[in-house]
Amino acid sequence: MSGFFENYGFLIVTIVQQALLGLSIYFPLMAGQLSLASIGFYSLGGYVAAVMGTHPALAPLREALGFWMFPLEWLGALVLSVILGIAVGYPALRLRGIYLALATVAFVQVVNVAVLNMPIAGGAVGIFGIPQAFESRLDYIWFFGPLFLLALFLVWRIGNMGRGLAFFAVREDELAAGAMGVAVTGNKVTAFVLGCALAGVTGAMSAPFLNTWNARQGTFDASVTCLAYVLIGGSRSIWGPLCGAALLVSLPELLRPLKDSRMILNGIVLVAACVYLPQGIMGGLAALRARLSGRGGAA
Amino acid sequence: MSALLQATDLRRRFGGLMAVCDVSIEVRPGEIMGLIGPNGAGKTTFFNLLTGMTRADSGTVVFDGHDVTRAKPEAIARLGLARTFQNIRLFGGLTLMDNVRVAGRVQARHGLLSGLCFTPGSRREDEAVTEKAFDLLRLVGLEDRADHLAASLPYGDRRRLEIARALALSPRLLLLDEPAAGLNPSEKLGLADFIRAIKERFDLTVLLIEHNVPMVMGLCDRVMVLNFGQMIAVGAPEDVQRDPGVIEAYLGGDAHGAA
Amino acid sequence: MDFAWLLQSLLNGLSIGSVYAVFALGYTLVFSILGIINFAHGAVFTLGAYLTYALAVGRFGINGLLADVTMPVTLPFVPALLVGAVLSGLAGMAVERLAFKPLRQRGADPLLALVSSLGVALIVVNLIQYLVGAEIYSFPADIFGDLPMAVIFQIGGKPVAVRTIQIILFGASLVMLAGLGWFIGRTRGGKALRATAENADTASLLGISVNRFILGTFFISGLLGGLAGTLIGVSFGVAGPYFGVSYGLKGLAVIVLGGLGSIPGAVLGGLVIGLGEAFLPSDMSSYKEAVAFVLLFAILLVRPQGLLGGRLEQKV
Repeated sequence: MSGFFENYGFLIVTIVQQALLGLSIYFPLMAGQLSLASIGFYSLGGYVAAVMGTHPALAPLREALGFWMFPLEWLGALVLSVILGIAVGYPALRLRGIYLALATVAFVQVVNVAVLNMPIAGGAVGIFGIPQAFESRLDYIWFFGPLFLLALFLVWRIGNMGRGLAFFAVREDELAAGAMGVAVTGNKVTAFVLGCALAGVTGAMSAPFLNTWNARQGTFDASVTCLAYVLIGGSRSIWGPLCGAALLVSLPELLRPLKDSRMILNGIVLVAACVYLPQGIMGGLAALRARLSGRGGAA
Repeated sequence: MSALLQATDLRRRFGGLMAVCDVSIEVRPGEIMGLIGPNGAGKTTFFNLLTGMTRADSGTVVFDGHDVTRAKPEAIARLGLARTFQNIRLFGGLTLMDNVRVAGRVQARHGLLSGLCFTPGSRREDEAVTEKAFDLLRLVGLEDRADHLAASLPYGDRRRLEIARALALSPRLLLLDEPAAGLNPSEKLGLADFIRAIKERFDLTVLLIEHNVPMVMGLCDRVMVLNFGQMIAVGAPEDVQRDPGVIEAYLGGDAHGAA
Repeated sequence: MDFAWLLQSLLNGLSIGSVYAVFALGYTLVFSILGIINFAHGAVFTLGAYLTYALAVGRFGINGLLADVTMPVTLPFVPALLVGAVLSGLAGMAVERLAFKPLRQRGADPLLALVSSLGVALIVVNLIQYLVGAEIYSFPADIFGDLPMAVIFQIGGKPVAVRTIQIILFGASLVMLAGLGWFIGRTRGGKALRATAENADTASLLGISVNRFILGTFFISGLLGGLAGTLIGVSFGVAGPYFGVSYGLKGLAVIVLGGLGSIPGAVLGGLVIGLGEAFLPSDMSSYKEAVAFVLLFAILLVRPQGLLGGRLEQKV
C-alpha cells in the first residue's frame, strides 16, 4: 500500500487540487452562469501565496508565524479574490451565456498580461523556491482534502436548503426568478464570488505544492480544462468535477508510455467524452443504473 | 379608498411601434379587474411595465404607496405584486415543490450563512416554507406530484402550478396574463370560480388579461380596454360592452375575442 | 505625437487589423449559423501557417517526426498561400464533422461543443508539434521574390516605413473581404447561407440542405482562418504550434467588439483592435497583448451587443 501512495501520491493530490478548480466553475453554474474566470483567480491566489512566501520584506512575519504563515496566505488570497470577484462580477454578470464566458476569458487574459508586467510577480520567469509546507508532496492532501470537503459540503448544502433554490431559479429562468422576488444579480454575484474565492484559495495552496509559480498557471487552455472536468464529470452532480478531474488528470499519466503523442490522445478523449457522454460520467452512470434496475433507459 | 396600484401616463415605444401610449389606470383594493384588447394591443407590455420587466419611457407606477417605476422586478415582487406569464415560465428543471418554495423563501429572514450552519431558526423557516408550499400545491390539486419536475407537467397543470407559485409570494395584487389560454372548456369554467375563491381566501386584488370575453364579463368588477397601446375604455363590464369605441376595435380588428 | 508617428501607426494598425478582421470572420460565419463559437478556429489558423510554410519552403526543422524530410516540389508564395488556405478549409470541415455535427445530432448541451471543439484544437496543435516540433519557423526574406522589404518615405523630416508585407496583408485581406461580401450578397450559395443563419428550420423548409451549408460555412471559415494564419506567420514568423492560441482569443475579442454574428462588425472590430494596438504608446508596449481584452471587457460593459450588433431584447 505504501508503495502505491509513493507512486501515485502526487497524482491523487493533483486530482483533488484540479477537482477544486472544477468545483469553482460548478458554483456559478449552479446559478446558470458559465464563467471561465476561475483560472485567473487561481493564478492570482498562487501569486499572493508565492509573494507572501518568498518576499524578503515579509521574512520576520514568516519567522514569527511559522506554519501559520500558510493559512495567512490563504486568507490573503481569499480576501483578494472576494474583492476582485465582486468588482468583476457586478458589471460582468449583467451579461448572459456566451457573453459572460467571453468576458471572463478577457478577464483572465488581462490578469495574465498585468501579472507579467508586475515586477513583484517576477515577470515571465515567475516566482520560484516557494517554501514547502510538507516534506512529502502527498502530505498536501492535508491542504486540499479539507478544502475539497468544505467545498463539497457547501455545494451540497446550498443545493438542499432554501437559499440554493434561488440559484437554481436563476439558472432555470432569470425573468421568472425576478418575478418571484429572487434578487437575480445578487444571486449571480454570490455564486460567482463563491467560485472565485474557492479558486483563489486553491491557488494559494497550490503555490507551495508546485514550488514555482508563473503566468503559465493561468492559461486559456487551463480554464477550459477546468470546464471540461465539470462537463465530462457531469454538470448536474456534485461528484462530477471530481470524476472529471480524476479521468482527465490521470489519463496523461496512463498514456505516458506514448510520450509525445499522448496529448493528441487527450484531445481525442475530450471529443469522445463530449459525443458519447453528453450528460457526463455521473449522468452516464445514472442512466446505466436506471437501465439495470429495469426502469428502462429514461435518464 | 385609495388605489392599490396607480399607473399614470405610462408610455413605452419599441422602435416605431407605440406599444403603450399614456395609459393611466388605478386598481382598487379587493377588485377583480379585466384587461382586454385585440392582439398586439400592448396588454402584455403593460404588465411588463407594471412589474419592472420593461422600463417605461415616461409615466409612473405607484404600488401600495411605493413609487416602483424604476424598481427592479424582484423588488416589486417583494412588495406583494405577483404575476404569471402568457407563455408560462416555470422552473422546468425543478420539482413542483421547489417551484413554489422559491417564492416562499423570498420573505425569509435567514440567509445563506445561517442556513449553512443549520441554525434552528433557518430550519424552522425552511419547514414553514415547505408546509406553505405544500398547502398551495394542494389548493391547485397538484400535491400528489410535488416531487415531479415541472417540465414533465401537461399544459393545463402548468398554468395551475404557475398560479400556485405566484401565490407563494403572499401577494396583495395578482396579475394573470391570459390564465385561460390553452385550457379546455371545462377547465375554463372552473378557472373563474378558482380565481374568485383565491381572491376571497388570500384577500387579493386581481388584474387579468383575458381574451375570453364572456369569462371576463362574468368575473370582473371592472374592465379596461387597450387598443393600439391606448386605453379606449374603462368601467363596469356592461358599460364597456356597449362602448362604441370598443365595438369598433373588436369588429374592425381581431374579432375572435368577441365570440 | 508627431505626424509621421501617427501615419506609421495608422499604417501598422490597418494592416494588422485587416488580418484580424479576416480571421474573425471565420468565427462570425459559424456563429451566425450555429450560434456557437468554434474554439478550434485558432488551431486552423495555426495549421494554415504551417501548411503554407510546408508548401512554399518545404523543410521541417530538426525536432519533429518529419525532421530531415524535404518536400520534392515547392510552390511560389501565392499558390502556396491559396493551396494552404483551401487545405485549411478542408480542416475546418473536419472540425465540423468531428466536434459539432455529432453533438448537434444528439441535441447535446451547447457548452459541450465548446469543449469538443477545444478537444479538436488540442489534437491539431499537438499533431503539428508531433510532426514538426515546437521550434520557430520563419519564412525566408526572399519569399516575395525581388520585392523590396520596405519603402521609406520622409514625412516632415521623419521616416515612415511602408513594409511590403504590410501592403500584402492589407491587400490580401481586402481581396478576401470583398470576395466574401460578393459571395454572401450576390450568389445563390450566399443567400442560402443567410437563410440558414436566420432560421435553420425555415431554411430546411425552403429545400436547403442545412447540413451541407453548415459544412460549406465551415469550409469558408477554415479558409479565412488558414489565410490569416499564413499572413500573420509570414510577417511575424510561425512561433511554434501554440502561436494560434493568442490570436484565437484575440479573434473572439474582435467579434464581440464588433457584435456577435455581424459581418461588418467583425471587420470594424478587427480594425479597431489593430489600430488600438498600433496606437499604444511605445512605453506601454508590454501591455499590447491586453489591448484587445480591455476593449472587449469595456464594450461588454457599455454595449454588450457590440458596436454593430442588434439590440439584445429580452423576450417576455
